[in-house]
Amino acid sequence: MTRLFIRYVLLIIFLYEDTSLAGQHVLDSVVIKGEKIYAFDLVQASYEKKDSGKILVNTPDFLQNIIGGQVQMSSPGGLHTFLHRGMGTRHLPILWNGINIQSVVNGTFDYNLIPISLVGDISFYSFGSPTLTGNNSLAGVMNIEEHKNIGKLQVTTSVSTLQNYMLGVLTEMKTGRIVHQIGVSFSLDKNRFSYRDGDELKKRTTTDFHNRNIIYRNQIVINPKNTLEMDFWWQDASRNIPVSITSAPVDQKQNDRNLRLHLNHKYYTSNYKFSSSLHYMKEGLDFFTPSIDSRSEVEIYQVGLEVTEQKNSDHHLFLKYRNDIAYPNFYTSTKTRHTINFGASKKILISDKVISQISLRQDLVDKAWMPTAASILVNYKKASLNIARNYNLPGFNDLYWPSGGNTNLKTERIVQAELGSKFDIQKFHFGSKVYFIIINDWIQWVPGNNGIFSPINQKKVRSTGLEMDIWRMIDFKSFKLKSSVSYGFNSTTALEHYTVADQVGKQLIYVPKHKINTVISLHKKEFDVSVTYRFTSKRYDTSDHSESLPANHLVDIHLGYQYSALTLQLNVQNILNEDYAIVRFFPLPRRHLNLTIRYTLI
Amino acid sequence: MNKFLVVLIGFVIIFSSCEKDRVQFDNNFSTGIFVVNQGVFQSGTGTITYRNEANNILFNDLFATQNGGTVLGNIAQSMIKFDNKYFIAVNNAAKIQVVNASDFKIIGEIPIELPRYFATDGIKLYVTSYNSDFASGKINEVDTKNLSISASISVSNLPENLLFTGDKLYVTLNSPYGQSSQNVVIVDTKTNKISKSISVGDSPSSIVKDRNGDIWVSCTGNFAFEPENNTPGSLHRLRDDEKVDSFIFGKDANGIALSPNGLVLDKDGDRMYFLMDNKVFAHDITDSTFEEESIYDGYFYGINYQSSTNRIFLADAKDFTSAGEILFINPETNATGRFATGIAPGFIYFAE
Repeated sequence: MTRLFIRYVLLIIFLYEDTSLAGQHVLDSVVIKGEKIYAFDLVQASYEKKDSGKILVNTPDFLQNIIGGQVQMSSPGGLHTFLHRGMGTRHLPILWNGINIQSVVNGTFDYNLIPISLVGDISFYSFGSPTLTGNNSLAGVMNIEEHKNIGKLQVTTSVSTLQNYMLGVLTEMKTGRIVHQIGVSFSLDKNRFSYRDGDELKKRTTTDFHNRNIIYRNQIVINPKNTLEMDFWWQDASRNIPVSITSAPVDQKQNDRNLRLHLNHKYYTSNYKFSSSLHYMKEGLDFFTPSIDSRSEVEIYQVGLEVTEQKNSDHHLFLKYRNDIAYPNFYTSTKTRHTINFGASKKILISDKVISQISLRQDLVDKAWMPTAASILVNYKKASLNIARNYNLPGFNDLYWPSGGNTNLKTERIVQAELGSKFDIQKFHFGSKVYFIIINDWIQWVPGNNGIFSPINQKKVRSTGLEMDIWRMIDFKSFKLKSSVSYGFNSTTALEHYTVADQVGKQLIYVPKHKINTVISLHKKEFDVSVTYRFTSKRYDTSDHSESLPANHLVDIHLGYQYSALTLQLNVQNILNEDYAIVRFFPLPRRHLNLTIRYTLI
Repeated sequence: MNKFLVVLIGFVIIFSSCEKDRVQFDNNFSTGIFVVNQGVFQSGTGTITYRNEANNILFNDLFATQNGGTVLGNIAQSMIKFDNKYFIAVNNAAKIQVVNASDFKIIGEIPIELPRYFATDGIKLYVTSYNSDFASGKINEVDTKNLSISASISVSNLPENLLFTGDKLYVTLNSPYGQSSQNVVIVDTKTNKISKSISVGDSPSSIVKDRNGDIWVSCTGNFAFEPENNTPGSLHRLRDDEKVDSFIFGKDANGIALSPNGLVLDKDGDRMYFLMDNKVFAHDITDSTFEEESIYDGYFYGINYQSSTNRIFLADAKDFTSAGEILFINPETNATGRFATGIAPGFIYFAE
């Protein structure tokens, strides 16, 4: 890898060295720009990390603010995924420097693994730009963005009554035309808590979740027309996975070992920006029980070239090649996938108030042409209409799982649309979205003969819904008061079911129909206080609706103090001490506290 | 009196007298039909469905109903009645739950790793269990008075079903995943030692004894990483502890080796039924070849036969995440009936 990196750098310098300042694009300051990827040029994030106004300790705390989604987890420290608008985990890509880091083996990504103290921002797009963000972008997009101007040093530490501890250090240095960011984080989450079992309080198995991360980023301004960026992320995590309270204790251990490298060169002419990128990722996932020794290794290579018209970014072309190589010890042989995708996008200014964007993408996967992806976006003032079609490939486990893999699986195909608007009435701010999603050939694992599970194309699913939010800020002389209410309604049902007809029309399991988030916050000088109430309606956890998990009401209180370089936050979560679960027989923590301290040296 | 009122009263009398005379159900569960529902793996609990046909009573989740909402535990596997108690193997909860036969109330628990199936000769009670490595297991004698395991015989491979005949206990040893076992072992229950091992086919599973005293063993075949490499399922007859007949099954329409599940004998002990290839097959003990006689179509997760009523009971687990169903068939009249169960019904027991 080191030799490849050096060759890449020399090649770029040889091809593009130009010290002329004649071009229109002039870099007059050296900062880590963190340019938003083209896919989100016209698309507003529906939620960003900074919106919470808090220092977040973990990504699920960010996700629970998204009104259209449901954090899906069994235990704290276990796999955390996100179901957005009734869709599956596999339908939401997580982008890191433009590449989807969901596992190509099982289609999931554990949000616990994101070292949130080391990333600049996390943005969530309820629709995103599915054509430009790739296949499996069917239900929004999560985008991890690099830090922008953190100052010289940022130290974040956190401790909670669950016996969870975190320390993150991020520093930035400039040497000439090079900016470096180096960060390390370490967290240990024991997730020690009690749960109610009848009249007794019992203790849950601890997770002993160690998560170590090192990141390094730089940006080199070779000359005003050429920049080179590098982003490196190393991660090593280990944990115990607790079993349900109806199961006998058994050792279940998981190790995650990830290395991700991104190189990007940009060359600017007067009219165009040429961006070439190289990604290399090595992802390891080991899972052990007394009877299971499962080790999965995947290597991913991606090279890409993008051309963007500079002035208005009104057209954009891209060509990428990705190679996934998986060699878990539970496959009979190494499995590979070669993906070429190419596409184009053009913005059309229809009037001074109306702009449209049309995008097309065509993929060639293992020499087979995939369904063409296409999308149309129309923005009119603060309203937007998105329509798209896309598809989702089966994962490697879907195809090659021992005894159960199904190489005859068809791709899932989707059509989706979203209409959103924002408007103000007097001093109240409103936002609303209505959407629908239709997926054909939804992939589902079901038991076959002798109870062996295997994936099949099971059903056609439709999701429709509405998301609304209202907020208002009142500025008193000595303090500010902000209140907001968000409501989400979702109906996700099978329109057709290829195997069990009586499941047609039933809400899919784990998908709540109603969600409400309410926040009241008060800000005075260095202090801020907020109270958050979250309501999630009942969720069925059997496909025939014979059983359901009750609705839950969760209230959190946040106290914050910021003075100069120091920020202190105390969060009291689940202050009503509610006993609840997202997955049956996996209780979640009752009332607990978290204290976070951040020191920032500018 | 108003004529209309007279007619109305007449209708009431007629239709009320058509109501079937019922015996008052006294909440005594000593007899009846029990279905052991596995529940969802990890995020579920096993349940017990109880059916009393004489009183037209159906309890779903009998255990929780009789025990103040207490859950049984993850993956209920099987049950048996012994000494006026029911012993329920709760596999993933690592215990045998013991309840009083009459009121189904909890008496106690026996801790045991991954219990599977029971057998009794009326004097002793045995249960098989897996070890947590899923490559070996134990044949255990249960102390039913003190609710403990009084003796264990360690075996390699996975002990499954048991059959008592005299002082001999036959136990099938199934194959761990990726490995192969062909053995049925014979345990001398006076000494709790293995006296003999008989080789049959790949992955012995179910075992029954016919009217002639011959023992029949069905073997599922070994499951390979790639299904096309699965080894064939088979059926074997043992006489005087020797294999005397073997019926090797072929492949399905997709070229995958057929694999039988379950094996039960009818009331006369000369005709057996088992599940395979989405069908219920019948085989007579006098057949010299496998006639491929199927009596019902459908995928079922469990099978049992009730001698007293000459009915085959079939457990339909549907998608394993919703309520299941029992279908019962009289193989002579083809009359059928159904009743609902909990999630993933896998084992049917008749307490008579």
